[in-house]
Amino acid sequence: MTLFSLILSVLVTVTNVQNSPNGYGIGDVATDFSLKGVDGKIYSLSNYPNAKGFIIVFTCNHCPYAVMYEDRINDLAKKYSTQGYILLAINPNDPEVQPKDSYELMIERAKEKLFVFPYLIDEGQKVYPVFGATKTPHVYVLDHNRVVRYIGAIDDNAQDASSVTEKYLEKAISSLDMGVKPNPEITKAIGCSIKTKNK
Amino acid sequence: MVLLFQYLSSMSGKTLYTIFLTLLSISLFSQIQVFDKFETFEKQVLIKQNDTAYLFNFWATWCKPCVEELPYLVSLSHQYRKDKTKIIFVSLDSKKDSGKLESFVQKNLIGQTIIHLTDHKYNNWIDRVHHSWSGSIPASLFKKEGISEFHEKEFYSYDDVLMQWVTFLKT
Repeated sequence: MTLFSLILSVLVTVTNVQNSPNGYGIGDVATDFSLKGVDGKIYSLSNYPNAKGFIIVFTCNHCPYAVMYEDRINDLAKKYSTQGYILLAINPNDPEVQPKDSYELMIERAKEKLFVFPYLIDEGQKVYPVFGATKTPHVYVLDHNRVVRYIGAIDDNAQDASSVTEKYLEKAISSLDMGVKPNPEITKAIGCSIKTKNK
Repeated sequence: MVLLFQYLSSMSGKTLYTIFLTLLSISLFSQIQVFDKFETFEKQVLIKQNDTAYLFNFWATWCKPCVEELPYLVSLSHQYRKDKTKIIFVSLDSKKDSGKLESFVQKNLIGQTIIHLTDHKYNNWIDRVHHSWSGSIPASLFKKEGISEFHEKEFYSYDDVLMQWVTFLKT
């Protein structure tokens, strides 16, 4: 690496950090985190050195939109774990504001719905602001270098899985597999605001 | 009409009262305008250009913080009744929850302007309401004469929304 490219990469990194007061954009490198799952274990991205990528889903118990996606999230986890993609679900809500999103009730929900993915709690609400998540559900796809490659919705029909016409998330992952940019890289959908005491 | 009245008066007071209320609510209070396509809502409501200041509140009956802030917005609409300001409540409830919305509105939002926007192809239109909207609700768009301001958050009190609205009207 030449001195110039070294300086350039440092500059780019610094700019990226400065440009992201509201969380990650496409191309940003995600910082690792350590969060507790419903099984009591601590999960980090670095637990999966061989992952082809990560599907980070901010979701929760109480939000009707998140509930509508529970089965689809579980199916995605089953499908992509065999392909080397790790799905981690994170509940970003403060249980003191929304008691239905307590750790105990997360454990219960995970058992009821037979979640096959780690369902993590963002204790102290330190991780969701770093990502810039604003709602549940809110999805981030990272590649194997933890570069953010897709942000947004799972698909284009929350109410009815059978009427989905665009599977944005799956499309984004196939693009990664083919080594091309997802199109679209960002999508928007209605969701529940993240519950916090920080107003 | 006279015949109908005679027929009705032969019924018990309670039944009569119920029928009267139902008829009244259907004729007077069914104030919900439904839009299946965002484009129609956009053309007919959202981009109207006149000298009125609009507050569009995006909400749903299933959204707890939305329901919590509604009374503050209702109070605001009463406060500004005579001015050139209008509050429009845009429900994002799904189509199948129309009945639930109707009874919610009759109970809590009588006399208000209610729109039921059922276009669930959100990715096609969220940006067109405001580029900064990520899609979480509650969210409110303040709009007047080419100026707009977006609030992707709930209002925590009447004073909270009043202060922000007054500030916007002054800009």
